[in-house]
Amino acid sequence: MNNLDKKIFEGIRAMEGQEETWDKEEALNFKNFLTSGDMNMFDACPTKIFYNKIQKEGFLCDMGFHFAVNAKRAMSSAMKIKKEGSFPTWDTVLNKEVREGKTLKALWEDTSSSGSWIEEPEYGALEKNLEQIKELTELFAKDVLDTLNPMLIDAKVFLPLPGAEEYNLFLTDFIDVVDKEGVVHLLKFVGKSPWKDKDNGGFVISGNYMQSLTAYSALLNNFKLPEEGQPAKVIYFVKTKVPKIITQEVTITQKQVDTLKRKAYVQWKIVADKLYTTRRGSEFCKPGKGGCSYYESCHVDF
Amino acid sequence: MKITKLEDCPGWQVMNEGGLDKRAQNRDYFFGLSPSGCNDMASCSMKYKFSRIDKLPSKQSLPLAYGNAMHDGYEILMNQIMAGGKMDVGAVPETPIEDGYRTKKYRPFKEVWYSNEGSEWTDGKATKWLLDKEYNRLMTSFHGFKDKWEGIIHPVFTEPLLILPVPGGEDMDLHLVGYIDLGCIIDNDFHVMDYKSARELPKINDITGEYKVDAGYRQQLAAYAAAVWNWKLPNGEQKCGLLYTGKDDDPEHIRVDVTVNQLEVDAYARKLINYAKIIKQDLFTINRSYTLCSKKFCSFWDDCHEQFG
Repeated sequence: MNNLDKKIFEGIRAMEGQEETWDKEEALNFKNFLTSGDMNMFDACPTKIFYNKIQKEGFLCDMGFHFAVNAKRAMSSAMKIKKEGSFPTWDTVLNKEVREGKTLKALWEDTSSSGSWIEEPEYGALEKNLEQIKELTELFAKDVLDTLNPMLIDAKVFLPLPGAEEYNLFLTDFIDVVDKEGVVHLLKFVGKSPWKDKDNGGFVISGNYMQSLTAYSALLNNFKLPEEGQPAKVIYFVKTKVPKIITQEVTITQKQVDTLKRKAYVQWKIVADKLYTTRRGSEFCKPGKGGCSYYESCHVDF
Repeated sequence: MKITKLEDCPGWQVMNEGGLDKRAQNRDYFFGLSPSGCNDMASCSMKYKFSRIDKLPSKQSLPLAYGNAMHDGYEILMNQIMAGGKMDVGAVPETPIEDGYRTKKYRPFKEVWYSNEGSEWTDGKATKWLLDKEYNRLMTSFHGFKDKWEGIIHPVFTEPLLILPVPGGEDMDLHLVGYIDLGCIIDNDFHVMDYKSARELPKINDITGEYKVDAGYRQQLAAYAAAVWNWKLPNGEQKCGLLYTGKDDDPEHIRVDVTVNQLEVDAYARKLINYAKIIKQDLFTINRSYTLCSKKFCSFWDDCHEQFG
């Protein structure tokens, strides 16, 4: 699949076919869309979707979220520099435009000073985060990027969800990476190495990650996967004292895509018909660090 | 109103007057949701479907088998007191209990426990060695329970089935169905109690020094309080509690007091109605992000992966 043009991907072609009747910018402000992140949020607690998408209450930032958002931007920046033919250095990564015409440096400063923190960062914690992102970016550039040939980076794709026409519902996502072999990649920033899977010698892959890769695969292929399935990879950026990067390969199947289609419809219907419930007792149902942005509102309303 | 026996409970009276338990016995089914069914709906609604609608065969796990046996043992001890005697742990092994889930067939406690030998549990094989080890743990727990609670907890009823209509769910013939672990008098007040056999003890709140109460357990207690009082708590609240028997070989018996209020009971009724609508409309989905979604803890792992990839 060398010289793969992005037009080859059915999902991209189908999305571009939508342009006359479907405004891209509108899509991201339009309420009838779900991302795999939304679906993961619903799995954690359906009522979070109500607050986030219906009430439009934003997330409160915590250090983990801040790290993940900016680290992903750093990796996008590094990949874009590589794609343009240069070796990414920390300085070029920081000063490359990554989203909304802004550089990583500017975006970092925006998010660091936004004030919407679930718990105010401790003194020096933000700088420590940035230092860790630098280390991981340099490791990524040195050890991974020479074999990863990114073609689509942070690619926004949205498509009408088959079977959800009654809600005019779209599935949308920013696909982290599609390489020149057509493999979709999910970048995850984790505090420790993933658990070893005793059965197959690989790693235990989280349900959330599989859901995201399934959504990426569905979008890239306009919900119809190649017969052999869609190759996919998770790249774990492990924030241990000595940072490391681990790659795990999986294959996404048509059955998984069909399950996701139905699941997205069902989740949306539950929200639209006000059948959502709280998941009190879940490990994430708590205020503050590692908890829920909507804890206070939820306990007043429910 | 004081509750000194099961028949005093408004929930029991509603069930009895409506002949609901007889309907259940005669398999004249209504739409029933139990707190454990609600837990399945919350964690993975497909698990609810596999288990309660498709009725796929399910395997036990060690924590489940241990928890069931522990409940059986405590029921025996409570029945001994209600029969006018004292807790007699030595009599537990030979006391008949139901052989399996609501089978109405009875065998001695010890025999039922060891009938697990050779079973394939989701988390491994039930070997003689494992059963011996866990049996000793159970007996230690029963002795500890007697030492700690005899003379303090005065049982009023143990493990009764309560069934009652859910307010607002009449159009679906929706009923709350639950077996309440224990209704008892502690310090002259009626309490609704639930046993917790998890190995972990509850965490302590650093600021108040009190045990933290898992929000899911609060909901479960609200459901049982609703069942006792037919959804209307006297003075808007009910004293409840959790009886923990955590730790590995040296169970530490801890009572965590919880007072549930009318708001929690009303919220539970609304939750049941939403779950019932989801069930009626067949809006089940898998939740692979659920922490217990693993081959080790879910009986339906293979079926789920076969069906949904």
